[in-house]
Amino acid sequence: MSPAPLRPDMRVQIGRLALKNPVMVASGTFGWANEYAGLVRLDALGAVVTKGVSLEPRAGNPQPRIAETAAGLLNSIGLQNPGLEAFISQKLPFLHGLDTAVVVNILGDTPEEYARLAAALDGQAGVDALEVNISCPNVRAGGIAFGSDPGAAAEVAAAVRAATRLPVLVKLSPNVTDLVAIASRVAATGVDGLVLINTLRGMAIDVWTGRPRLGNAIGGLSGPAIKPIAVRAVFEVSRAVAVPVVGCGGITGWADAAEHMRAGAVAVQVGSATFRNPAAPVEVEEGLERFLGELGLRSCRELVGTVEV
Amino acid sequence: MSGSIQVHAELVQVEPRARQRIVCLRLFAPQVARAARPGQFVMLAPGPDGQLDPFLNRPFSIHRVPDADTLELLVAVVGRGTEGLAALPPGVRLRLLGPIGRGFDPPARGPLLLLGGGLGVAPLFFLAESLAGRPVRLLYGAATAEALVSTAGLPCRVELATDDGSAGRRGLATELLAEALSALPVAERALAYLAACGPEPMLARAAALCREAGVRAELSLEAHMACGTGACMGCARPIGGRPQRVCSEGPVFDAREVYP
Repeated sequence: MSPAPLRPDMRVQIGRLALKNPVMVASGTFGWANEYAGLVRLDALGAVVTKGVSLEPRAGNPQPRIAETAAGLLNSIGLQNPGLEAFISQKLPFLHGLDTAVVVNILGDTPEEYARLAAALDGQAGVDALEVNISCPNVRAGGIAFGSDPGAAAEVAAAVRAATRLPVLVKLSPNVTDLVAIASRVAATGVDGLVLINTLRGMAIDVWTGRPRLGNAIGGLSGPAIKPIAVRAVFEVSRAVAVPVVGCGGITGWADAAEHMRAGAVAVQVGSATFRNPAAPVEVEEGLERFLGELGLRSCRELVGTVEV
Repeated sequence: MSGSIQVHAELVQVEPRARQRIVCLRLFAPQVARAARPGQFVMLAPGPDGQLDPFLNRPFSIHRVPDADTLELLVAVVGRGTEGLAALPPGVRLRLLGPIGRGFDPPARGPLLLLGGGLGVAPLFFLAESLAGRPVRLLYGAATAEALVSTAGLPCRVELATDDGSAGRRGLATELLAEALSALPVAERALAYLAACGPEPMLARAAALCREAGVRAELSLEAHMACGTGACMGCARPIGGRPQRVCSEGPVFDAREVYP
């Protein structure tokens, strides 16, 4: 499968996970992919990353769960999902039929729960990799509780790594004092890649009613507003750790993806942009390919980490 | 798995529809207009492609489909997004996703009541026009006469209520509903139907009145939403004992599910 002449090779390798191109969708912004069937050429994506799956179903948080902010939005969905069993029986068959990699995002309240999820998904047809969510700002236990402590983060990563043969990505939170310290500890567990960043904790208040604009008061900020923070995180972490970094945060167009890659990301995830334009991830991939061609690069890998400081 | 498509719709016209700041956006979007059913909605970009702020698309119920190529959306100019939309010049192309969701499901025969509160009246125009020739009564409430959208030309009987009595009855549209229901012959109640859209207290009251009268009611709900495709779960809330997405399983729900 050699690339056509003059077209850059878009294939990327994230540890043991091989993707046909570096543009994935971000967990929680693309549902179970079937919501976008007919709207988006799903096979054009580098990977689909599912909404977070827990062992048991979760009902999620009270309304409102969405509040628009300047160049972005706050959300507090609360990890609503049908649980592992229903995911496997109801959601996975559709994903399995796609000609793209499927990364299942998993979340739990204890390292053991993460390990059970990882073990249960190992060997399930259609699952190509796991993304470990230790960074959700919208739930108390699990989620960010693990992601904000280097020891706890590494414990979850190691538990997942030991429980499955699947490639493992770990999605980290920017809501920490020392991201590099956490990233280094997690990378040392032998995972295949790190995903940076999840949403930033934020809040918005309706000044007329005096009430928070989210039912859960505090939520996670995403969208173009957070891109500089994400690019900085990718830059710092990719220089400090040996494992591949996947950039996520504020990507709405190909230039944002290129910026993440120049900062050090081997691949990217498009998240909130899909809410306003379902075709955004595919358009990012197409634009990125054109851009690489214009630069005369033979492979998208040649762009990674090329920022000159 | 929705039947929605994404198009670039051309803004044909922005025209005032009430003395208060309510405007009608007329959009050229043939594929969406042809597929649209009363009660469905669209997600409309708040500005041209490339504009990152405001960020999210806006949900608007389909107000009218005046011809096979055209959609009309009713917009209250209340914030950054709607102010921007109302100020756009004709000819602008805006991303539009639609038609979205489950619309109204009126019965093939029997008396039909439509209840609209405030801007919630928007989808009831499309519904009333699709039911032309049937016995339809629109009960329409707003804060003041200034906030009322003109109902001239609608093919149904219209009864108005305003909070201050500046037009129609002084009081609530649900008071009109209570009277309309009690005036229904008991034999007709099992065949009758209510479609309602508006503030939640109005919907709750309408659901209670219809339950007492034994009349089937459908409610169109509103929610903050990000995607309009069912992916983000932003609009999900407990309905009928399980989380349901207003955008995908709704926006129209059976009243007994919403208010059990």
